[in-house]
Amino acid sequence: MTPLTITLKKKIKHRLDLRFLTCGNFKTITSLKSFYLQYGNSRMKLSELFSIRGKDLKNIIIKSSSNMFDNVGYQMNNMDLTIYGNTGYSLGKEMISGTLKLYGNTSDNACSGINGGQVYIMGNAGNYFCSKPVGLNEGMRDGFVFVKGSIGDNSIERMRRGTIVINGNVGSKCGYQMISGTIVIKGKINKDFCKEGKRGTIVTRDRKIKSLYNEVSANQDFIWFFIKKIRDIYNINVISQNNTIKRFFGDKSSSNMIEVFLVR
Amino acid sequence: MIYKGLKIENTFAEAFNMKASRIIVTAENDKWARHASNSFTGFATSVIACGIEAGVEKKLNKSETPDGRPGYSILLFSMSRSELEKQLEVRVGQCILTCPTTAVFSGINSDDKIPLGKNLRYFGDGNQIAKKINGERYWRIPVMDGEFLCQETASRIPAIGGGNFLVLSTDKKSCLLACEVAVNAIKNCKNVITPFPGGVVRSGSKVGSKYKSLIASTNDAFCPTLRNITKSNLTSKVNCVLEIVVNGLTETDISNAIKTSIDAIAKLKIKKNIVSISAGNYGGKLGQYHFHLRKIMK
Repeated sequence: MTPLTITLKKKIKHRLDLRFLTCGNFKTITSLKSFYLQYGNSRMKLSELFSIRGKDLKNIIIKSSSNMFDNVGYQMNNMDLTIYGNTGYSLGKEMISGTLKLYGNTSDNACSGINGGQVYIMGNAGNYFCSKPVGLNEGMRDGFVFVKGSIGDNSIERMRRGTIVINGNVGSKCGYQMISGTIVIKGKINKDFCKEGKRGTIVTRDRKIKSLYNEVSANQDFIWFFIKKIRDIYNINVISQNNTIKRFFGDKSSSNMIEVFLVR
Repeated sequence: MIYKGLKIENTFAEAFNMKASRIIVTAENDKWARHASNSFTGFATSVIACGIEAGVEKKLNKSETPDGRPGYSILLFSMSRSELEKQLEVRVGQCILTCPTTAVFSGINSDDKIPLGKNLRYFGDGNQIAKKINGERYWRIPVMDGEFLCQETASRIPAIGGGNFLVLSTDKKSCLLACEVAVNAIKNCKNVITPFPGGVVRSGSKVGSKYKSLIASTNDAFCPTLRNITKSNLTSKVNCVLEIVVNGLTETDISNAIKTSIDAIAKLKIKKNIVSISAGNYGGKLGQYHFHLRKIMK
């Protein structure tokens, strides 16, 4: 079956909530085409705003996406979603499974409360990336998220599980109250990073973090295993075999049990 | 039937339904991976008294293991699901966790999961760390050389145990050599193990005994020393019989292994000393699988 391809017919003036694409439970293309969505103060058929081609409701491609598109990939389950262009707020929010690829930038609250699946953001993500959604006490609960660019402030809040790989830099107050999980940051970390953290693993090149944790020289079998796994499964090279790694474990000033692998 | 100058008797091997699992043991170098594998598969020759039958399936290169270190793939077989579960956990805890630099992973995937590191993690006394990667949970247990890394669960799959054939020879030396060559040939086969020491059994058994407490006793029909006093299956030429037992994941795997190993024997110069190739069975009434030697060698 050919993937369902959705292309915007004209430039839009108002924000669009596209959560129905992933949690609308449409059985046929016809029912999707005739779906009414809120556009400003009026309701419009989906087919009036978008040209729709293809048949596979489990494999959707959004072409010419706009930063006015909110909630793209909301609660996505067992689907493939590919987006060309930027997106608005809450990309992949509370996602359950499947693969979401964004070839562009995304705004705030991306991957908030993500519970599984794989997200590839080939641009930057805004503030509150992987934050905890309203009504929940945990942010990212599982899954894999890759960001080719940088992420904004207050991101990765109360992370419980899963893996995040960020090629760029992270904003301030990131990793707040981290519970567990793994964060790889290839760029620079910012102030108040992993404040009030409990456990979890950080892989970074930024030496600033060194002063906060105790160095523990022990074998590094796990980190090389982790790097190999990420390369084998997601085809992402976290660090090369030529790098040397130092391990830090436990905060010097609190009961924080975060583990840091410093890559050189 | 004569196969490349080797007499194949018109008989069959009788094999049974079993449960199997595969684990991958890795270590800093081949030496320590081998130590752990040998320890794990020790005292695992027969389910009669060992609980499981286990053996090294093959040596793995760095590129074939989950953590990029040298390792070994081990297959373990048991008659019952619970015994497999119990033995796996006990043996990983006592033989692999204890061995320096090792790590252990599941080597096969199915929906039927059994604990691998799930309960062993408590050895970490609260300092163990879980990592979930792509839906699979791994445990990092702090130990004195760093960390013991193990996957939380292994998988259990249906399998077949007890595929076999007997080498009947005029002398011990030729019989041993033929068996050694046969076992070496099986090492190149996938999804099979030969659980006995060196892959060879000298104490083939029959069901029951004159002693009520024993469930198995010596297979007197194939004992050369008893040729004249029991109902023997041996001709006067036969002075040594050795058995090769093959456990495998499927019927095809076992058939391939039997064929490959008999083929290897047939290429030997000393095959003139091999009187025939036979197989062990219980009249066909006990085992669910029958491996007819002549069909396999066709």
